[in-house]
Formats: sequence, structure tokens, C-alpha cells
Amino acid sequence: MKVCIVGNSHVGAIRRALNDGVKLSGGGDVFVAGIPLPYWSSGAVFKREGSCLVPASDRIRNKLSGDFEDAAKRIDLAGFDCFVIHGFGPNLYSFYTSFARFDMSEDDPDSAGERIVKRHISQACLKQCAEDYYAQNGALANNVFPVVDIVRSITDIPVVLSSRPFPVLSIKPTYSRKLRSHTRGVVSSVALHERLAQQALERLFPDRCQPIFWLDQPPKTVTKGIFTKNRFGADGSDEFGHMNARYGKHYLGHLEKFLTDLNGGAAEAGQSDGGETPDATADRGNGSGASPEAELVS
Amino acid sequence: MDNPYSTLPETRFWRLAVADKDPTDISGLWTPKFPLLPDDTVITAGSCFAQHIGRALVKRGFSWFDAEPGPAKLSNSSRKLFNYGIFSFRTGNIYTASQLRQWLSWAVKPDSCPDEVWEANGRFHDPFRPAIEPDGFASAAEMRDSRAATLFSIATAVRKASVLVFTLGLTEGWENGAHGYSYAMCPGTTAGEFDPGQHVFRNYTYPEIRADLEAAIALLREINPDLRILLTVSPVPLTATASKAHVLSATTYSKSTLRAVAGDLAAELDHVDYFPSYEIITGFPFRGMFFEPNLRSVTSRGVDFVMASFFQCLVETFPELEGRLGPSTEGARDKPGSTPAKSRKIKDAPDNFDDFDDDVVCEEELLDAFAKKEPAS
Repeated sequence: MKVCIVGNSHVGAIRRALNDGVKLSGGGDVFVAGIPLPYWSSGAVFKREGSCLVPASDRIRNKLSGDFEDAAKRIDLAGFDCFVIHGFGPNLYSFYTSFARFDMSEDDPDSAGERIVKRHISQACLKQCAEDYYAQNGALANNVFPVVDIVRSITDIPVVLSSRPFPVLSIKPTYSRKLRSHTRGVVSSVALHERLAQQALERLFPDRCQPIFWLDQPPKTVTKGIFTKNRFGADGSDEFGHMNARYGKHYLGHLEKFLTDLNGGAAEAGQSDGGETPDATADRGNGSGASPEAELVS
Repeated sequence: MDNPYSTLPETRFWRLAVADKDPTDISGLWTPKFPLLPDDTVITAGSCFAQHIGRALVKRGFSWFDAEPGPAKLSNSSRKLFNYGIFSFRTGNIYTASQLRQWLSWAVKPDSCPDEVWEANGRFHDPFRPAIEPDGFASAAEMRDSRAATLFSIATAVRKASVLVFTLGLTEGWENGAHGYSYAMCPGTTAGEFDPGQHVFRNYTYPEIRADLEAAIALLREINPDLRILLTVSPVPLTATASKAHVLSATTYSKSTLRAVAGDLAAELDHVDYFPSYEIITGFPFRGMFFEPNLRSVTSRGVDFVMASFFQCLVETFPELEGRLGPSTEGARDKPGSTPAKSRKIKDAPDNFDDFDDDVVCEEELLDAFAKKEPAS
């Protein structure tokens, strides 16, 4: 399997994992390239040349880092089985804060102990929220989707979008508590977020020949339903915003598992060629097959 | 020799106040009983036309209170689809006084709310808010929770409000024959299944409407003793009538009766007032100019004219409000030289509230779909 991962600074964790010797357990190569976020915000960072993505400008070419073999920094998609765009919102944090009043049901017992429903959002409205949210997300609409369109004009390999993680250390404790209180008993599962995002993407891209897939954080890296566990924060006392090689390892395992499942389990896991293998046991979802609706009301 | 008419102002004389004037110069139609300040918390409920009033108040910088806001970032089109931001709570249109009394009584005592649920194709509809969710609810329990939240929001809104603007819409309605409660719409139209043995048509009379409205006002004041109530009558004609009358006659009966009840209560109760938006839109001196070609929907120009009259009358009666009201909309006739107050961000109003399109949400319009088409002769 050959995987192409492009993104912003958050691809650094993946590169670090690869630098540490992590390999896909089923064998294959991972190509990683990244451009700092500000250079993404100006529109499509790539343009098409034949079967290749090439930097849209010299400025972007200068800022583009990655596993390139030549100065032109071309990415020939003909050689890849999957194209991943990593590190953009909406992540869990963004999702939750955008729906700060997202509580599906907020209820308290009254003085007599009777349940009082103070707020309620229906499941149908919740799904509509997700769809609207993704449709309105500027990072996706302005930065990511134009690249997806170019990729789709070249190849029909799976395109996967994966969000940046959100370390708990990068926010103030008081806000952390507030954030958690907003999400109390509501969307407590990464798998649910992932499915809502996927549903929204499918509705946003109905005309594309191949679906676009949403991949959330590896569940093992998530704590309190929202945040990334502290131990996956990049080493260094003042670096809370980015992830370390251990996160990259989990991510690669999570991605490989996802792609293997996508291909009907064709790829064999555990065929390491001696390098360190990513954590392929990371569970993508809850595996229960339960619908988001069922999960919401549970 | 003086007589009672000799000292009356111009507005009391037809020729001076109406016949000699260009319709758009007809003014002084309302003498407010109490001021309405931008700082007052205003809530709106009632039939379709009340939506226009809520939006106009927001545009003018009034503190319109949405007690049941939708999720942040929900798009405006979705917000409208799910009936968020339409009224101050998510009841949908409240067309009759009976329905208003009913909602308030349930808000005060939620346990008294009937347990009826309409189910079709695995989706569940609220008989009292049949169009509140575009495709119904996922379960009966979800529907009940949603309704409970609305009841809580009604009580919250009334408790926090300074003024309720309620627009009376219809005299006609449908009741459950066995239990006597009112439905929002005829069962079998927007949702549910019509059962002639169970569902009873009512064309409420003046005494019934007055009793319902008095009871509703009493409940409102029970929740909030300081609440003031501003009544209006919707100028929107009936889409269809289930009475035996022609729809034009039925409309005249309906609006006349509502107008009489509203006027009488406003005359009798200090905390109740009536604003004549109905007269402005439907009065024949205005020659129907404020109706769309379907002679039912009110044009945006008509709404602007009504609301300009509203604010002008407020300022004329309470000069201290001069300059404190928000910027005028098209068609406004504020006094020259007046300085409109800066329009403020309204707490709890939906994002881009001003961008809501002017179409009101009117479940009753669905009845038109049941009209039989006569073959062309």
C-alpha cells in the first residue's frame, strides 16, 4: 500500500513516527508533505500537471516540505493507493465549541425530583447541524476541498480527511471545564463524531465519483471525549499544539486499519518487515454497528 | 355651540384622516397605552404575521428574546426548517386563542399536557406542533422531550419578558372530541390521520375566544405579573375554511370576531393593548396594495409600512423615545431630523437574523394543497 499524506504542520507527528522507524504493518510506503497553515489559507495550494500535483506557486513550493526527490516537488498520484489530507478542522474541539449549545437534552430534577427538560435538540436537527457545520467550515471549504477536487480530477483513489488533534494542555483549565460541561452526556464518542462528519461529507459531495472519507483521531489518543491525551503532546515544555511520534504511530495504525477495512480486509495486518509497527489495534469505531441516533440516546 | 365632536383631533374624522389623504400618509392609527423601549424584552407568538413583527423589532434594535434558540452555527435555512427563531419559543404558529391558553396552561403544569402522538412511517409527530420538525421525531419519547423543552421555554420567556406581542390568527380550529383539547392544525393535513369520530371542527365564537384569551392573559400574568400584552390580528386571510361559508365570508367572520375580542380586552385591561396592523393591511383605503397577487400574503412593503406606523405612533405618543429606536426600514416615515439609535446585536437572536428571508412559516398554507382544481370551462 502506498499512502500519500499532505497537510499542514500536524503532519510532523506522522513524519516523526516514520523517522522513528514506524512502518505500515501490511507493508508499503508512506509519503508525507506539509505546508504551514497560513499558506493553505490562500486557496488551492496545488495545481494539476498530468497525473501530478505541483505547488501552485513558487512561494508555496519554497514552503512545501516533504519526502520529495526533486526540486520541483511534484506528487505523482499515479503511484498511490490513497490520498490523505491531514491537520485541518473541524476537529473535535472545533466541533464542540461550534455547538457550544449543542446539548441534545439538558435536564434537571425539580424540587420534587421530577425530571425537567430544559433544552432539547432532536436527532434529525443534530445531523443537520453537522451537515451545516461542515458546509460552513472555512478551512475545509477554502483549503481542503479545492485540493480534493484536483485529486479527483486525476484519480479515483480513496481520499481521506483527518483532523488535527486537540491536546488538553493547550487550553486553559477553566475553559476546559466549561467545554466539558457543554458536552456532558451528549456526543461523548469519537466514533459518533466521525460518523456525523462522514454523513455530512457524503451529503456535501454527492456528485463525486468516489466518496470522501472522514477519519477522526485514534480513539486511544482521546480523553474526556474531546481532548488529546497529554502524553501525545509534542515534547517540549512550550509546545502544546502539536503531537509527538507516539501520536504519529497511533495515527498510522488507525489509518491503516481504516484503509484495510475500506478494501474489505484484503491487506494482511502484522506483516512487519522488522521495523516498528504502528498500533494497528486502534479501534476506529465502537464496532457495535449502532447508529449515531442509538448512541445519542444511550 | 360646542358638541363632543367639535374638539376632536383630525384622526377622528374620516374625510380628514382618510379620504383626503394619500393612503401612505394615513397616520396616527394607534395611541399606545404603554411605551415599548429598546431595552424591554419582547417576545412574540401567534399566527404567521407575528413573525414579521418579531423580525422588525430585531431590525429596530429591540431585545427580542428567543427562549428556545437553535444550535449555534445551524444555517439560517436549517434554522427555519426546524422552526428555530420563528417565535420566542418553538411552538410553531399559534393560530387560536384556545391554543394559546392551552400552551400556557401546559407550561404552568406540564403534566396536564395530553399524551397523544401521531405516528406515520416510523416517524413521530407532535399533534400540537405537527410541522415543528420537517420529518417528525425519531421516537415518541424524543417528541415528548422536545415538547417538554418548549413548555419550559414558554415559561422562561414569559417570566423574562416585558412585553408579549401576540397575533390572533383564526377562529377556526380542530379539537379532540373526547378530551376537548385543541390541535394546531386539522389532523391529516400536515401530519396525523383524520378521524371524523374523534376530531371535531370548531368555529370559535366571540364569547369562547374572549374566555380563552382572558384565561391566557391570566396565566401570563400569573407567571409574570408585570407582563404587558400587545395584541394584533393577522391580516392574512384564511387559506381554507371548514365552515359552511364561502372562504371570503369566513375570513370576514374570523377577523371581525378576533378584532372585536382584541379591541374589547385592550379597552378593559390596562396591561393589554391592541395595535391595528390588521386595519393597515386590510383596510379598503389602502386598496389592497399591501397584498401579494395571491391576495393573501403580505408584501414586504406592507410589513415595512405597518412597522413604520408602529414606531411612529410610539414616538408620537412617547416623545422621549425619539432617537432611541433603531434605524428605520424602507417605507418608514420617521420625523425629519430624528436620529435613529444604532441597531444593536440582539441577544439570543439567531446569527444573521436579518438575513432570514421574508417568507413566513405558515402551516395553514398547506391547506391550499387540498383544494380541488376546477377544470377550465
